[in-house]
Amino acid sequence: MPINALCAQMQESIIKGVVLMTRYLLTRFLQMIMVVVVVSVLTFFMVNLLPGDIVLIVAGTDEVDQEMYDAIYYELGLDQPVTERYIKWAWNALHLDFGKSYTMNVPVFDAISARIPTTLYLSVLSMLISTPIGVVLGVICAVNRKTKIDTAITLTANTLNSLPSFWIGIVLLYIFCFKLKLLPTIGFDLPWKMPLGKHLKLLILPMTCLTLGGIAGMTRLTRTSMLEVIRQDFIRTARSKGLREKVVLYKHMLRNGILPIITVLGSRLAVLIGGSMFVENVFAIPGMGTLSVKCVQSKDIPMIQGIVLIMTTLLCVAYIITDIMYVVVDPRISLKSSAE
Amino acid sequence: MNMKEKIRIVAVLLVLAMLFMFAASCGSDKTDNPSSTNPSGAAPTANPSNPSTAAPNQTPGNSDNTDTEAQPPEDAPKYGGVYRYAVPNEPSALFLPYRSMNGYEWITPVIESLCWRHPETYEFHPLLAESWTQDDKVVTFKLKKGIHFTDGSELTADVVAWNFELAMENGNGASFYNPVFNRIDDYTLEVVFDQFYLNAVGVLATRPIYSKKAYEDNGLDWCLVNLVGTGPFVLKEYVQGSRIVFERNDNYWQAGLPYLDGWEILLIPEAATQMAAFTSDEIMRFTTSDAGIAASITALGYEDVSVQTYDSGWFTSLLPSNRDPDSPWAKKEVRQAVLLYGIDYNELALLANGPMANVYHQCGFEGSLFYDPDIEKAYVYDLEKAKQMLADAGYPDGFTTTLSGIPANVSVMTALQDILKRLNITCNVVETNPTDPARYDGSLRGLVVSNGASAWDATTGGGALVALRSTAKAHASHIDFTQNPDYGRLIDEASKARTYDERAEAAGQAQRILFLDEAFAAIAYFNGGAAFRQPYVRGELMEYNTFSPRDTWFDK
Repeated sequence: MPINALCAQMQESIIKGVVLMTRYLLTRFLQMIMVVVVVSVLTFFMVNLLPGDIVLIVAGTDEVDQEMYDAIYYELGLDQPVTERYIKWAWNALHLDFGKSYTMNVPVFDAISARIPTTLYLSVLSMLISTPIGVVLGVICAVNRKTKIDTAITLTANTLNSLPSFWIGIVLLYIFCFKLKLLPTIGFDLPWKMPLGKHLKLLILPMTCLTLGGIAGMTRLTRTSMLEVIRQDFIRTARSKGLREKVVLYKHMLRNGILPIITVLGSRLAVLIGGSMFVENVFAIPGMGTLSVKCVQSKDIPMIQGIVLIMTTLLCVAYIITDIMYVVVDPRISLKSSAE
Repeated sequence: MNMKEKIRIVAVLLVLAMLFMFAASCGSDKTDNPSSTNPSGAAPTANPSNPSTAAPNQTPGNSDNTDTEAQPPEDAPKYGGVYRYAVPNEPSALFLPYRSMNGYEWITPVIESLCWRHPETYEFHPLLAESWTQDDKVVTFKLKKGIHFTDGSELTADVVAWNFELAMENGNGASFYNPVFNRIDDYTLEVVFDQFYLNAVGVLATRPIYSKKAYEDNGLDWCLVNLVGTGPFVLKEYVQGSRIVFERNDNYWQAGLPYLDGWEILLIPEAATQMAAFTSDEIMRFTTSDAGIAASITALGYEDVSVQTYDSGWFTSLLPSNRDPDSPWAKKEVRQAVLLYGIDYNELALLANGPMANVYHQCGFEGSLFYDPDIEKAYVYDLEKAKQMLADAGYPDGFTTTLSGIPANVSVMTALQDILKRLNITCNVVETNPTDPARYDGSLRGLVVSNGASAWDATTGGGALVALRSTAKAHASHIDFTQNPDYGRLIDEASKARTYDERAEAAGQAQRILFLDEAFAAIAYFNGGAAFRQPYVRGELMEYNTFSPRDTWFDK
């Protein structure tokens, strides 16, 4: 084919690809907006149904005279109908103004943005560590199925999967901090805010808590997925063609078996962020988990709404990334069909 | 060795490692704590107070000496170090004139008050104020000269008055009776009340004084999360939900103080984490109301330094609603039968709060202003007598009632439900949210389990009136105290008393009506607790287990 024609063909492919990607992202973005709106409406009205008097929570005491009660009541806009309050809040949210926390007296956005890096750092790091280890162990189990290795790893994974992360955290705290005094207990902060050596010491225990469950889950999932693929005819064909076992394993088995794992990654992030509140509580880490618990207990409506909105958005983005990864891994899947 | 064998060996090693970890965590062998030394020298007394309560601004002043130069203690204190301790909760704001707050320890390193009060004698000593007088309804404070806030502004009568007036504007003036403030000159402040109050000095003296300039320059929002005061430390960092960090104020008005370089409060919700941090010497103080945890710490060689004081105790109370005339609780005989004779309070306290609870049935301990031993003697667990009294009142087969309380009192309600079954009283347990309007609008009936703080002190007795008054006020919605007209009259007499003897007499009688004659309420027990500190922590007020940022130092 002449070079000019080849270049033109390549150019056309690229443009088609960009158009397809843009259309796909736009569609998913609109879907994300809808999800966020529905979630915010549901959250707003449900939180307003929670028992307890917000005025007394904000006042910090139940010994409030009528004058003070009225002052706080009108200051919080509680005299307005719920729908009007929601519309006002939603309009402000579009400008990234989620209001002021009732209990912390700071803008909600500031409070969340101060804590979200910690939770994301822990969650993403946990995923980056647990996923490859879990996949490797799962492959080992699948390849050596029904052997002692498979039994040992599977048994360990099932046990770890059953143990709650906060229990693991307390046990690790007891062993390494209380009994052996090998590691520090408190003072965790992000690596760019403290000496790296100290940060790594403080990271070991919470990361272990978050990662163990992830490794266990990934191991089991990978094992199951790989066993499904091992039985396929194309694997037998690949072997009979004389391909080396490593090539069969990585090029054919793993590539086909990885799709369910990618599916899980998006929801895994959600589980990690939600589950982080136990670990953050045990190790006194100021993240989204502890903030979420505190704001629900204190019925801090602006904070609850802000957290729900931001977390929903983050998770929607995570799912979009997961879908794009599908296309990268499996050429049979196109963005067009993925959006549908 | 092929790959399979290598993998096999690694797997076996992993399993062995896990087994070792489990084995290491089993058992409770008593190991020496290399970071702990001999227990501290403070000797605990018999009944621990609530160790989590800290009296505000309990710092040693110069007694009656107006000289600002600090007198060094006999055993020379050492300079340096950072004091750290952990709490499970933080206040919603740091600015008291705007919102009342729990957790004065969050501001005391920076914010000082006119006086400080000795935790044992309860006498007031000068701090920011040089002297004071009270003449009937008028209290006059003379301030020390030359004291500055860390923003450079000077402490004057106008600034002090502004603090109180701002609190009144925000609806917080009731705690100090909403007086009028007159600035006589830059350092003299006259406070005029609408009537004589025996504790007029007390309600003003320990109130924190903030910088007016900081408020005017930065606004309310800034002040809610920042602190500018005259204290021995300055705010370095406040990370909400995590920690507050103070560093030494090198320009503190009392030369030579503080001894420490810094003061930190860490928010650690989990008791196990606090315990681990304490035994690792990462924090210097640890309090707990869990007997098991306290025993674990004691086993490591630490001494419980919690101190019983006359005030600052949290109690659990039982409040039967008498508003419904058809309810059994409307009858005095029923209330007396159940509250005085029908409940084994030792059992209730043990089940609900563990072995550290203290069973007392009035607003204070022995030695406080109107402690009445006859009230304690009146509570005698006698099941047969209680049943007989119920039968005489028309309830030979018992009755059914509602037992309500906040979620924190679930253990009390569960234990009480079981105990009342012995009297054939069937309880339907209802959990209510602490801020549920039903607790205050009169819709709650039956027996309510509640909590209160008793600020009952030996000299002023003002706190006990708060306890008696709050028992009346906060729960007046479901208790009709007018059934005995003397009660309200006696409370008023006590509040208007001109001498402590008069107050003791009136409040003592009111207390007898409340707990015995009418059995409007019953105090079941005081919550117990233990407090521990690192043995190298020293300070004049340390033996009273009181926060004292100014004079604390490390003997190491």
